[in-house]
Amino acid sequence: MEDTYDVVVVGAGVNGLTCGAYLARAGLKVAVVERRNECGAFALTEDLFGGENPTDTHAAVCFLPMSPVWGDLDLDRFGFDLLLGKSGAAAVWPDGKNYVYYYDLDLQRRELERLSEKDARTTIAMRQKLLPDAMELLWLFFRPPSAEGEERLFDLGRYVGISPAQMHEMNGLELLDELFDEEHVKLLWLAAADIGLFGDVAMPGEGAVAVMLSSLLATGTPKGGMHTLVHALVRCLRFYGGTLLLNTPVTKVELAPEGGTSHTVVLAEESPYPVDALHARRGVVFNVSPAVARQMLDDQEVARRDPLLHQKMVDWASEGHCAFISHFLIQGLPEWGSRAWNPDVDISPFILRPYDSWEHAHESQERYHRGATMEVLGDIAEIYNQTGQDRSRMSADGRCTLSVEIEYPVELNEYGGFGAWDDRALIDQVHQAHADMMERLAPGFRSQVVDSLYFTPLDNWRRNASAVYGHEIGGDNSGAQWYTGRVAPRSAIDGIYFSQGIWPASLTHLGNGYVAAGVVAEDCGVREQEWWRSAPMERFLERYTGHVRGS
Amino acid sequence: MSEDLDVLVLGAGPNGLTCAAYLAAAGARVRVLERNVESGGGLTSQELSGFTFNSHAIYMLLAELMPPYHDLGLADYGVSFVRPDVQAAFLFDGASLVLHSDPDASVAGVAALSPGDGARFRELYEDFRRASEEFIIPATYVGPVEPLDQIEMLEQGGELGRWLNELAELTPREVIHGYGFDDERVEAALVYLASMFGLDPDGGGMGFLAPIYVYRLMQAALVRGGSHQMASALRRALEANGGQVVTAACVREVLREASPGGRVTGVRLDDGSVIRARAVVSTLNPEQNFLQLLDPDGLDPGVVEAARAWEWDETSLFVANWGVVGEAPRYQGYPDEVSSSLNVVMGVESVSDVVAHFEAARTGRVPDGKVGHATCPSLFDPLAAAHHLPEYGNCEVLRWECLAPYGVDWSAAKHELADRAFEEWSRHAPNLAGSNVRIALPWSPADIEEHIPSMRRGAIKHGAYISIQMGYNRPSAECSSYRTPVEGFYVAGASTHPGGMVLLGAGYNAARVVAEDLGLRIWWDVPPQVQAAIDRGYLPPVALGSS
Repeated sequence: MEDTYDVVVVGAGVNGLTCGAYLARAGLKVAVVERRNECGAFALTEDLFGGENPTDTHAAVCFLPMSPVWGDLDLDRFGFDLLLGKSGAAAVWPDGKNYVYYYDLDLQRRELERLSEKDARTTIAMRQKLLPDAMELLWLFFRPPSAEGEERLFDLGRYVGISPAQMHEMNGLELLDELFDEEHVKLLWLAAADIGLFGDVAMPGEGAVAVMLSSLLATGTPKGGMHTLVHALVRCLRFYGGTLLLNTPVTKVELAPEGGTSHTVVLAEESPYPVDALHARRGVVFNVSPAVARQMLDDQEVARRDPLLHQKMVDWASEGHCAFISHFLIQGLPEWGSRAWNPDVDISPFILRPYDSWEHAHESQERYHRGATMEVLGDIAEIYNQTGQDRSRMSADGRCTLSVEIEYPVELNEYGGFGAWDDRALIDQVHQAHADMMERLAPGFRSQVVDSLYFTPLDNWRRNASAVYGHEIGGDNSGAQWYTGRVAPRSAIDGIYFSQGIWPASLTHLGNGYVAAGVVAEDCGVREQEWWRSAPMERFLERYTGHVRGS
Repeated sequence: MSEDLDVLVLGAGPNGLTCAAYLAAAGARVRVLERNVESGGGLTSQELSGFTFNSHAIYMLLAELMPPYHDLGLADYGVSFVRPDVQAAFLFDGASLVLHSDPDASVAGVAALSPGDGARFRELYEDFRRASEEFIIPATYVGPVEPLDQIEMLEQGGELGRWLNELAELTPREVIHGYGFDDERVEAALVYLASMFGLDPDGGGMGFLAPIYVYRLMQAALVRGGSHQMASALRRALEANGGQVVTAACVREVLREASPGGRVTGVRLDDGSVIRARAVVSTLNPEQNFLQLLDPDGLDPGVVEAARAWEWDETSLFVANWGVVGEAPRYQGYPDEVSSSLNVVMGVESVSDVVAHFEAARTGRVPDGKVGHATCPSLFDPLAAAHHLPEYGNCEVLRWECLAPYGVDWSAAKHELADRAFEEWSRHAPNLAGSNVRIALPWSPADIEEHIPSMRRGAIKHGAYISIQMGYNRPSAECSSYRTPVEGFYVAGASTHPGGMVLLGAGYNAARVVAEDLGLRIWWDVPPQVQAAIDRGYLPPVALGSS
């Protein structure tokens, strides 16, 4: 068995696979090693309720339309089929109000006019100014952070007449107050900005940036399940000669002497492969949380060679929030209750349940930030209804799955700490509350439920060692860990790289793997590739010619 | 993807992947089509909440004795076996019997329960070991031999051969009974091992399989990282030789030339697309092959008749997996070594208990959860449970298995049975508590069929092990050489010799036949064990070739 590679990537989540696939395609000899018996980390499609009802058990929303990776790696060729609709998401309120986030400006105008004509004008005017720059803005997600990039982020206010100085001071709620009148309009943009990709909406500066960037979101549904993305990445990696080792925990990474890049990745004794270690001639990419990477490295050596990285790893925070996900097997699709219904909600794969009122939003954000765990129950949720867009997921007997994800503060102080996520009574209470919330949004939901299952934040941590405290993106993405505050993809230690904990937050846009692959390829002198030149959203726009005007 | 293929293999289970990997390494352009989204068939491992569950196959009977393990270099692709020292512990009322991979330790275990039976057990073990190693295992990796020829060769082959011929006249229970154990519990334990996977203890003419099950269930191994790791490795071996697996590809029809007796030209998938190939190797069951995928009208009537008359397995399996936070089971009132046994068998005091358990499953009664065997895979394979969060409790995987019927409504019954089995288990191991269960995953016979449709009626072996469906008659005399009367169509699944149980034999044997017909280079050698059996005269050299 081969034990020497150019690059070893530790962790076969979607970003590790992306990084590995780019580098393999660029001609390097790559191995990706994964602790679990399955790759894809949280991008899993599992057989919880039988083979005909595949369930995306964690990440269910595919942000790949925003990404250059789709085109560069030509994932369609490896069996990936992303379904795209007129919109990627919708919002529904318990009072029956609803909204569909259309891409098309005319449709969006009409949709917003149902809520407020004035706010519709404001939004469309902003979008018209912003869209010509969309590509340049999206590139901020696919390049390492820089001083110029930061300047550009705070300059986003220009599209709505707000100065960079004001942007620095404002959080997302304040910016929305400034821009809009109608409560539901503010709430729907808050919900879109609050998905964790851009930063914390309640923080000054990054909150306002998050609101501005949220109008660039584009999503789709992988036909058959999110795992088809993972499979396509694996096929691509292998097609270009990469190696993938599953069931292979890494115990430590022994650093080469100073100036060298030839590091040694030591495998756990229980690994089934007949080698004890892999040698990486050109470098090692950590696609694990910085907190977990720290356990694999010689602490003193890192502190000496890259004090900044060491401090980041020591201080790395994963305590912000964690997801509890309830999965329901239901008979038929949910029937969203509404007074003024837009039927396109039914075919939206991603449903946001925003706050009930602006006052509610303020209260909840405040409670949330002081870690009042259960008070936030059901305040706001992400609902995955992929079968709405992908009917192949409905079984012959008319059943499909629907998932509810709610973020909770991790502390659980009133229940005795994070370990309480193993407490049956607490878990049942939360799971029931999720079903109750669905009943309010889609009356009759409870009677549709055939079976259900859930994953607590502790389950999430157990399944994914990088998900410290169940944190799905490898650590907080706000405050000291936002943009330039993130870990650098290229450390000061030669040949040590990161594709997690870096900018942007790791989600299914695959930006982290892309950014990390870029710096490794530069250092190895293989960055210049004919195929490595897709722009963000390029393939999405190819598919959307004629549908998305003004972009 | 190029459509210019030599071989299409239907089904990415252990046999399909094995056959494809050998042929790809022989230079054929090979593609495996798999209906499920993941390859592996019965080699499935599901990871939920940090627990890896082997929902179906788990115990590897032959492990590194399988020729593909060496020929395909599976170790390099991550196949590594764990073989616990303590193999099987039987819990009786107030006593126990513990069997080890070391025969001396097993003899001592038997003698500890029943002093007079130690010597008898040693005799049985040695007979069963020799029968398995010298004939049964070698015969697994050659095509089936015509029955009269086989009898003749064994007859000429000396004492062991003649004894093997005698076994073929007996039932598994009679073979074990013949050793005259004083203590019926010893006999019951051995009959349980023989029938653990649904071999009828009273199956006439099936006595010849008793030695291999009993012997190898004292040498059983787990695949490190989960059973699916074996499928992954076979797939890697295939891909390393240029072959590929296409998942979520459901074959609707096998295509033939229009002329009478026309040869196979490829397959049509359920999305209407057509894939052409010179040969199609199916690892599906006879019903799928000859009544659904091929048009029965154009087929040899004998083949169609055999498919219609095909008898499915008499029993299926029930498997429950649990992920628990807490300790591994500690058995109270039994010796410590019970707690480190791969299998712990409960509810069997007598041979009639074993027979009753089999009969209940055969006649459609839901098991009571009292008879079955339990395993804690995470004790032997640390990869089975997440161990990175000790501060939130140790995690273990628990697994219970017993025989079970098809044809009952399992939707609620499977949860009830899992609960009863857990309760029974915790009666013996009181440290198991239901409140520690984080996730439960029961797999009933209905689930087996749903997840692995070729296992029709939950038939884990693709068809009963009864004498008229074995060897030369599996799946019919016309098709048991892996060739079929349809030119270019081959069979290589568990419904061909040597059957199921992750032996990789059918796929291995079929690869040679297909390679011969396509004029490919047969790059692999006769395995030493097989050569030894040929040298002893038990197997004909010709059986390796085009017979």
